[in-house]
Amino acid sequence: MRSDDAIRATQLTKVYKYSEQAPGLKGAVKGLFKPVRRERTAVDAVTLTLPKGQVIGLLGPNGAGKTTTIKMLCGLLRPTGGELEVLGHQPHKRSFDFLSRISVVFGQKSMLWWDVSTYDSLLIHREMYAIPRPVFDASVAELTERLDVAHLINIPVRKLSLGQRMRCELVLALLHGPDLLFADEPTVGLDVVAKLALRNFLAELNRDHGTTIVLTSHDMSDVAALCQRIALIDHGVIGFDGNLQELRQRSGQHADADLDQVLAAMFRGRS
Amino acid sequence: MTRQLRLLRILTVQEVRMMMNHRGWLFLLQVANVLPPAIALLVWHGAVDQGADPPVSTTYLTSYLVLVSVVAMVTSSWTSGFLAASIRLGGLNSWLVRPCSTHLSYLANNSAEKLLKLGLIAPPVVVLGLVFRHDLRLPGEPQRWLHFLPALIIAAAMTFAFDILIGSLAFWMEDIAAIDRLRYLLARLLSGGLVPLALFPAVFQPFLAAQPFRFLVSFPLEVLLGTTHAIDYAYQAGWFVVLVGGAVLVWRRGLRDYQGAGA
Amino acid sequence: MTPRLFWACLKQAIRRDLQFRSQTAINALSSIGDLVLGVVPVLILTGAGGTTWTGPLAVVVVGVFGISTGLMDCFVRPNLAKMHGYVRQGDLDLILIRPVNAQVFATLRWMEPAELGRVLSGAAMVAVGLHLADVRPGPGLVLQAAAWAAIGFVGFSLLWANLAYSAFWFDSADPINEIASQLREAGKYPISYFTGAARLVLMTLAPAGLVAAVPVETLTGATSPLLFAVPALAAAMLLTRLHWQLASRRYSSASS
Ligand SMILES: Nc1ncnc2c1ncn2[C@@H]1O[C@H](COP(=O)(O)OP(=O)(O)OP(=O)(O)O)[C@@H](O)[C@H]1O
Ligand SMILES: [Mg+2]
Repeated sequence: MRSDDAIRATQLTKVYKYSEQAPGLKGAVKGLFKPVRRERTAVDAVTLTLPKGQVIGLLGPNGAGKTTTIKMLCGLLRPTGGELEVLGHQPHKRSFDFLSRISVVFGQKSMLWWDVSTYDSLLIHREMYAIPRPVFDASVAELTERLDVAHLINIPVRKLSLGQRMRCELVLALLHGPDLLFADEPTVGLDVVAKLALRNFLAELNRDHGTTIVLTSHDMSDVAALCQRIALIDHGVIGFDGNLQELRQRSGQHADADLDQVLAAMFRGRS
Repeated sequence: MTRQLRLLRILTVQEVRMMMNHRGWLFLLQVANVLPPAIALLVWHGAVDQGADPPVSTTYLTSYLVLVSVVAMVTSSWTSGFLAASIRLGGLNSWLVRPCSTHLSYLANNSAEKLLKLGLIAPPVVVLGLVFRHDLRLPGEPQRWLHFLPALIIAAAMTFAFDILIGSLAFWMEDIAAIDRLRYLLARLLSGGLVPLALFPAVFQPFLAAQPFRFLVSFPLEVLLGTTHAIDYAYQAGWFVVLVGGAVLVWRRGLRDYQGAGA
Repeated sequence: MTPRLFWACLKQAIRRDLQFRSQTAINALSSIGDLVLGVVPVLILTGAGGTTWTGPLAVVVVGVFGISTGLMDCFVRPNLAKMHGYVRQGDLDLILIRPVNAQVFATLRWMEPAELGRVLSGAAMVAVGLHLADVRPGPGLVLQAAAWAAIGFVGFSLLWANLAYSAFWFDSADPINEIASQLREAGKYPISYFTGAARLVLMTLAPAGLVAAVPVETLTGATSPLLFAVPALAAAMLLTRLHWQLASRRYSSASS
């Protein structure tokens, strides 16, 4: 592995096991005695190398395997098969060094403590990541300024709006200065202004700190604005890996087609 | 290690601050916790007044039942339900991506809850003590209290481990509430939380002395009231190893099979 | 509330319970275990002597207690326990807009059929206990005892309802359900073990004593003044109705 690769995955595979239940009384009784075991391959032999400092967008329809991929990359899930090295670590071992060099933002889930202010959560992360006081202060100052949340960080999180909270989530997630950021649908539910602010912030982060970013989003304009590289996933398989221009060409849509149309054409072509 | 301790401290302080918002709720819960021993006190005193002859003295019985709600509270844990929910709904994800053990937050949550509840359970227990003050004898020797404290903390640690053990079953099962309920059922009877174990018929005593639930509630009180034997400490150590070791084992296995629920 | 609506609610509850497969079985078992283990403290108590109560009679008391609380936990408790949520999260709106008596609907909507296991095991305990105690009550006594049990059931449910309605007035009244349930446990003991004020309270204000202990006393031939209890119960019903009306008038749907 070259040391300037952030992520290297070969034949990465995840198979979920679950049991199915038929609806109604009969199904329930049957499930009681003979549960139907199923398997679903959510990620199917994905091979992907990501150099440090790159921003990659994972795109794909619902249920394509994007979140599953991210969960394996950040150590939440143990891969069922394949090789995976992230920042020189095997993620699922969840070593302190690995976890303190990455960060994860789930658009749907909050990392902030609900009943206290953002600043209180930051203090906890200071202990968690063993951040020295001066570094902490400087980091908080920079992040709150860039995300324009200086006036929000002392308000209990439950009283913030979604957009305000999302920006505070980012302050928390980036406090320890991670080398690698995973953002799973960070813009979900945000209005255009908030979305733009967030987008600009991520772009600056990548430019000024060289942070590697793995992003998923269903908003094509997010991806277009941020990602130097796009990987299309469907049914757990990467069907396209390249930049936006190549994507347009591949889709066969005319040059000024709307990005959503480009993507829809790609998905339709595959399934 | 010092990082973990500092983290535990700051998490605990934060939990106390958050729980302060629910102090009325917690207080009512403590009143509910004092009711079972209060009812037991009433019926046993009624029985003794009418000529019953229990195997222990009225003062032992009274002191035990007045104090048992405090001990039961300190050694209780409500982690299993939360842990199971976070495994099932994916709340665990937020912890696994941070360099901090999930259990640390539960430990902080538990300690904070104990600190706060200790203050809230005091008034109803004092009332109970005053009502039955004629038969209440608290030991005067300081070393009894000195032995009581570690026994209490070990009991609390064992319950916590038990909770992690049961909560971790959510890695494989959809709903652990029923198992949890079954455990509480056994614990209520066998821990001495409802009836002092000494009141059970003599034939059961060897079994009662050796079973794990005794060490979750009854044992610290037995230490305080001075009715333990040397062998009991061996039992305690044995069950401690079983519960804590079991919790560690099940948690590790579960994390390996974890499916990382949630979008 | 028509019987058909009631039936529909029950069917739905059974269907739900069967969906959560083995959990329901474990719930039913633990509900029964609750009762069976619950007899232990009572047996230990009667074993210590002092009163005329014998072990078998105590088993009958616990059995009746099991039948009554099984029914209560199936039909009454689940809803009262939810009252707090209804009020705090504004879900009561969804009940108030139904074309049925809101109070009754809110009290009977949710059911936990698994708890009915306790009714069966309670009945078995009653049968065994009566046999061992060699008590063979005539039909008159059985009727009287059943009447007392019904009064106890309704009386305690009313108390519980009033406690649950405190959710309308106080923010964190939720554990009141736990208090009610622990208070009810006093009904498992023969009433004569309680003396003085405690006994009076358990016969009137918090009628846990009427749930099982007084009915069983009646079975053995001791009579209590039924005529007195019926008007008291009617008054309690009226008060509960009034409480609900006052409370729901005060209720303004909490915005989420
Ligand atoms: N815990 C789980 N157990 C079983 N199957 C799962 C689990 N999590 C996800 N899946 C399945 O795996 C597949 C991929 O899911 P994943 O969450 O990775 O999709 P996604 O690309 O993130 O979709 P979306 O855009 O909707 O977020 C889906 O078919 C999903 O149903
Ligand atoms: Mg997803």
